[in-house]
Amino acid sequence: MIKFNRYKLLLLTSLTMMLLTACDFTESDMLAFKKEDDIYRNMSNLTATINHVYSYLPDGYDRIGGSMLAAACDEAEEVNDMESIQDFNAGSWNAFSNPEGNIWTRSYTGIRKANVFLDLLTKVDWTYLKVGTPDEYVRREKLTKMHRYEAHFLRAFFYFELIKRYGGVPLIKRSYDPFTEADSLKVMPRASFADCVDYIVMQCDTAAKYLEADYNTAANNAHIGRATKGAALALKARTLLYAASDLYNQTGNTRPELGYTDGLRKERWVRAAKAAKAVLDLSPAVYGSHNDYSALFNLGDVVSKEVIFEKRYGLMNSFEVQNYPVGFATGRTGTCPSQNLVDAYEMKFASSTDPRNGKYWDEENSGYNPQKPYDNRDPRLKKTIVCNNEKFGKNNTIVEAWEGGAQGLPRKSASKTGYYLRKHVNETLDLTLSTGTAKKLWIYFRFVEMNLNYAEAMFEAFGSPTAVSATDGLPLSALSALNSVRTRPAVGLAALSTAISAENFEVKLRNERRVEFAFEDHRYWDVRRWMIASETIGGEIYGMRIQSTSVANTFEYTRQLIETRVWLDKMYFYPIPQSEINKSTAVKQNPGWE
Amino acid sequence: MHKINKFRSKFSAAFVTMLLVTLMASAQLKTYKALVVDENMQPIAGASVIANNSSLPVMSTVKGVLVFDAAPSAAIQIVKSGYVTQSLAANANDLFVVLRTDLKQSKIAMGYNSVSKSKNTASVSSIEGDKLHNSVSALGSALYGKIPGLFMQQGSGEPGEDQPLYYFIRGTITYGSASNQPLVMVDGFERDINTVQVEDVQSVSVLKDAAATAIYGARGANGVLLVTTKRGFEGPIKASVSVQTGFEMPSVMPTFLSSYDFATKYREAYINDGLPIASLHPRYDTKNIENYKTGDPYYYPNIDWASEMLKSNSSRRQADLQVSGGNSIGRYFVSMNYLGSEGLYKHTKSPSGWNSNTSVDRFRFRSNMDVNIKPNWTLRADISGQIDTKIRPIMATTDYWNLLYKTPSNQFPMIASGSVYGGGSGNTVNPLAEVQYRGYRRLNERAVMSNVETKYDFSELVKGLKVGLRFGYDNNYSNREGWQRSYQVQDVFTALSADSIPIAGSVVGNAGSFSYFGPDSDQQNDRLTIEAFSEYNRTFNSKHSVDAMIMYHQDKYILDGDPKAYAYQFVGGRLSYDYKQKYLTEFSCSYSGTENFTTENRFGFFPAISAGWVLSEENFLKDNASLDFLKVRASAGMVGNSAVGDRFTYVQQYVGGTGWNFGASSAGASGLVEGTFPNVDFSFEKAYKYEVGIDAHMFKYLTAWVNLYYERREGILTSSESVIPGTFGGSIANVNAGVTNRKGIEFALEFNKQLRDWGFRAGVNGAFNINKIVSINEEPKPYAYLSVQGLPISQPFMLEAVGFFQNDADIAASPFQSYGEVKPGDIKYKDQNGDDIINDLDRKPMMNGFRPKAEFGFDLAVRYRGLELVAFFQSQLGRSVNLSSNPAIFHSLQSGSSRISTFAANSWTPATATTADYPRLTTISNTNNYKESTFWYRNGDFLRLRNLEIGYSLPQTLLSRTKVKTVKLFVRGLNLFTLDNLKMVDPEVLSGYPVMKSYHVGLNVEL
Repeated sequence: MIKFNRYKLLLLTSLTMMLLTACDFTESDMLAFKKEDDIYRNMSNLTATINHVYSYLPDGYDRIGGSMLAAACDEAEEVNDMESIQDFNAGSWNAFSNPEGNIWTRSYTGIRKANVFLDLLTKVDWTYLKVGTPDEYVRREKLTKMHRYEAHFLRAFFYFELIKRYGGVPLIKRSYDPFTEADSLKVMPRASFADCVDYIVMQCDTAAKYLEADYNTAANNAHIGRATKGAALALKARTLLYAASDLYNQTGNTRPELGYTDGLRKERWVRAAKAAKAVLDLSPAVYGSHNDYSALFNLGDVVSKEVIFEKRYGLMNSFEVQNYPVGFATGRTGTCPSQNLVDAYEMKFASSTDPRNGKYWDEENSGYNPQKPYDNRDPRLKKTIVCNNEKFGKNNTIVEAWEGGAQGLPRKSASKTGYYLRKHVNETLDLTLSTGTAKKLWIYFRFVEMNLNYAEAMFEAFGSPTAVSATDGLPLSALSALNSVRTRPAVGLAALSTAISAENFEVKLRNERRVEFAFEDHRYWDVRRWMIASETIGGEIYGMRIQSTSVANTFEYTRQLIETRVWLDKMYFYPIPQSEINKSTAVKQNPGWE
Repeated sequence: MHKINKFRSKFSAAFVTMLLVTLMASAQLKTYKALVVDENMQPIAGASVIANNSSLPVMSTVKGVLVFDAAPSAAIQIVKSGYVTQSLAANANDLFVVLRTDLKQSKIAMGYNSVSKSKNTASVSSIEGDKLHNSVSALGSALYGKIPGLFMQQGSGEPGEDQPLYYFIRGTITYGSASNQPLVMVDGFERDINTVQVEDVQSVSVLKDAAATAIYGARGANGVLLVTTKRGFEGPIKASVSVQTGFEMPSVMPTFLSSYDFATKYREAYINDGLPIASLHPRYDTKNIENYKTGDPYYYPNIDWASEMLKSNSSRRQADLQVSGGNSIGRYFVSMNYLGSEGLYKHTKSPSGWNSNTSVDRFRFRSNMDVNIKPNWTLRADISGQIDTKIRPIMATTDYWNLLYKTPSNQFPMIASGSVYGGGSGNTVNPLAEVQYRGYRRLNERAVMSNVETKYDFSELVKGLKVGLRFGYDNNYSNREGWQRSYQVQDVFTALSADSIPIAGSVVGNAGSFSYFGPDSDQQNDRLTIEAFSEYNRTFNSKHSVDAMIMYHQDKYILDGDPKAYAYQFVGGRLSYDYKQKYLTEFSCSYSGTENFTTENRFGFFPAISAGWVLSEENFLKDNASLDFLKVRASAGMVGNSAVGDRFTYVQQYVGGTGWNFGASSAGASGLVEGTFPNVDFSFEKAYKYEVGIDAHMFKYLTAWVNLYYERREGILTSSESVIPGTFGGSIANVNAGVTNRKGIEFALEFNKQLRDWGFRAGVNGAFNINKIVSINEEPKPYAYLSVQGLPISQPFMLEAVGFFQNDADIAASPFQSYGEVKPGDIKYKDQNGDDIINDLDRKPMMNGFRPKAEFGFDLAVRYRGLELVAFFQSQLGRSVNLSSNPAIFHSLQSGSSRISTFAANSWTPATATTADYPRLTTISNTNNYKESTFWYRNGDFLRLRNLEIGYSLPQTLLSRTKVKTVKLFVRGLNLFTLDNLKMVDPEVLSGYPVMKSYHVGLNVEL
């Protein structure tokens, strides 16, 4: 018995040792990992890979912390002093910290994901994808092709996000191996601004050539929200408009990455006008203007002809929670429109022939009534901004922005400007439990922008509001384009006269962009490219002090300075993150930020 | 007793002439009674007596009592295996015998074996369980400062969470995502140290150098912590029962300004900001501010939330039962323990019966069995487990403590009306409602640990050969459940009416009904270990001793939610040889690997050699009276660290990424994205370790040892992204390119002298080490001082604060500070690079890291008869703390804090410009003042009285007629006193549930 046991044990021990050592005990099941070949052999994985590339597009709502970019220029003031966007206004941003986050890395990450996706497409093995019915095979082929040009478009979009902030940047046109090609990345200098613009344009042209004009058909509507031909052309138009603008055409500039150094500016404006025209030409078949200015910014998931490219949000309410005026359910007050913006809305009286129409409030005989400052104004004012004693919310509650009122100072979180945001805000949500949600759209490009881009490019190219150029294929004047925006049913302002001076026309054109695109992330960039930031991003921000009087519904309005903001001319270009300057031997910092 | 002796003397004297001479010696026998104890005054049972070279047939009892008869002039020796034989001059009647542990025989637990202390050539420190007596709920908390080289830091003081934050053997040496934690083995199996009851511990060993850890191969580089639990021994049944109860309180609490002082200061902040008080904040208007003095508790409350919501102390109870015994066939050690402890929260009892006060109820059991199936075949089977139930308020603990510190004292009453709590749109969270109304959560934690070992002695086949198998299977499970509801708050004072009457705001939120959640957060893990081994142990010619072992190990750790189990495998062994126990050598190694690395890099070979020379065995020292033992030893080897943090980063994976919404209904579409760019050489860290040491015992009561060591760690994972430009556009796997080193010294000195009535023990131990980053991937820096290369791991960088700006002229004349607009009263920084601008390039390495460079322990015990006083101090030196790690206390009016602590009481104003010690207060976000700077850093050195105990054991005379062996009453205090540089917070735990000091009374009865 003993003998049996001890040999059995010895045998067992040796056997166990041998058996266990032999088996691949430390081998893990690698099948649980999705690898490259699982992507290019599987259609839905390919689609998911391009879907992810979209996620590097900028956010519209809750852009910086909980604030909108509007609060970093003269459109608005963020009510919360602790929000990071205040760093812009205090001038406390630099190469080490930027309230916008690291856009450099975010954009290049998007660019790499697009490049990697294009690499994957070169590896697509149709023996794996060619399954199912012939129809299915055709569908897959078409889809793959579509995704390819989506990648080109998105790559261009990310480059545009880079150049509008930093000027020319290193052009990464393919995916790199960070270990074997580290040195090439380290010595890659910034490309010239011109080269970057040309690259973006080239990508847009390629994408526009092959992408569908729209997906608004029963067979295709699952793709709504993907890049279209129009989206690519719109991106090209905006890029060329920016490229022709003052900021990138400064006289005496010797650094090609900061802008053009040649004098061929007129050609650039013509090119920009042509690019905008190409989108306008898609109207009316594909595009047109939406007939309701308020509804356009609360489309939910509704398709509109005015929308060229958008970010489609699922059910959400964070933007509403952030921007409902304090006192409305769980509203916290966020981005508060400034008096500066309110003042930009023209006077508009019922009679279209009223001579006061089109005047600014402070012009002589404008008809402005200091006791009722929001009456007889451009209708977009009240569709964009919640003014004192106006209604808000699903119960049409009066907003009491006066001192001591439910939405007035000194209440904590009450607007300092006396205004609350209406544009984009879905007033129908039930936020008492924070449970009410709705879908939202953030529009990157819309049809009306192309009119104004065209108007600006034409005017700058030919120096006259009424000029046309048949030889360039530009039969529409700047004035007509601007008027088509002003007089469209959703706005209904009077057309500007053909007699308008060039000087006045520029004022009107720029003001139109300011008013039309308020809170759409335009002005922050427009004032930079026009190089008028010192008094629009910097400078004084005003609010309205509103005091109730002894007479019901009568208030005393007094403009008051609420903030003086910091602007330094170096801020026209963002500082490249210091760590990128450190890691590269070739990338040079923008002037003033070294 | 004395009487008996007298009588016997008389008796023998009466018959002396009648007896033969040969009988005279025996006739003159005298009866002795001796008490035999060890160095810790624990009675020794089974000690025997040799008188004039012949053994007497007696043994000491379990109480250490030894009664024997011997001739008055006989040479008497007290003998006990494992102890040095003690010779006695037999001239006293009552003897007190202290037996010292024999180094040659006393074993020290090592990796997969135990070695006699005298023959050990590796670097190991250990402590016996009976020196750990401490009223702590986690074994780790009984070890602070006790083992030189084991660096530990106290964690939260919350009941059930009061285990140490980390255990680092010799501090840190690796950086980034890799772990510095040692491997923890309980009874030879990898387990959580805190599942072991302190009272069940036989010993804790810390294996430090390569010689001690090479057997663990790729997992040994951070050292190994070995816990051995008690086992049963042959002999009569022994039982021990302890009960204790105690109460605990925060070691230190921050203090805040009263409402009136706060309002005055807040007003000051508004003035600093240039904001109109009258229109914006009528609450702080001059005429209104006085209302805080009169203190209408409704509109002008003055609530110190911490004292309103916290009890002055909380209670805990503990009971332990141990039974052990056995015979030559089977031996057992069985224990059961209960711990109950409550937290500090007040107002937690709901009328509906529940109580949200944080608490823990813990039951533990252990059963360690040894069976001799045959004389040469042994079986060992152990099982232990624990059941923990913890109650917590719904809000996370640290958040709740921050809430107590952050919630304004003046803005709303605790209750607005009825079940509507004070609060408002900006303050929807009320500290009272959180514990009284909102509900509670319950955390259920279960653990079972089991292992079996069988070993067969093949001596009849090959002399000295043993073969065996070991299995271990552990399972842990935890989940969470609870009941919660929402509550309403109301701001009773939103504005001031024209006639200065506060206007209430509307009620915010809604009072929901209770909803049950859970059980969720389920966590379950299993570990299965299989080992096979054979040992060979033989001494030839009584000179050449050989001790060899070879083993195979594998274990798999399956963690819930992780599809990839952690698998470890090795073949390892050791061979030691010594000549006459004088010249010692050992070679050990393992070929070991884990599942995590590339096939080529998965396994490594880890060898170590060590040698020792016992000088005290040499002739020239052998008879030295004052030197009992002296050994020098040295070791060298290479060990690995596979706990690198990253997993499988050699594989280019595609992982789920953010998607986008498409389609007419904006439906969510999923995203996929390339994962981290792979490191194709992914492998473990390699540690090259070198060490020399001296062990000495002198004068029979002094023990001393010292170690000097050097380690170089290579292959540390270091960031690739910090050197590859962001234009690459993706995340890149870390590469095994980092190098660090550390050198250090450790020592311990212990004095131990026991007399019959008096006993003294005094010990001091210390460890000091410095580590250095030799190589790391970091961004090229424009200034050399910005580099971490050459600095200690975790060296903080900060701006150097040089005071406050005194006035606008001062600002104008100083370098431009780029962190936003500065005003007089803001912190002024030193321009380190002379570029006339203060930015992140002016951050210099200053102060120390949070972890100490040196740690000391001081142990003192004095005994007089049954009365004993024990004190133990721990000290950490060479560390800094950043007060900004608790902004709720220190960043007054910033970072979400709506209060002002007394720390900011003397804030800068033009009037206090020269005496202020806090920057100007502001209600606007201020980046400048709250940057990491010397202003917020403090020296974190401390000396803490970890344990103070007064015990009284009833005299044996009282117990001699009972079956009770000992009865001991004790009073114990933990963390009673701390010497440090901080006033508002504890130097170890700066935020969350604070470190507690506690008092305990207890009773221990041994049968």
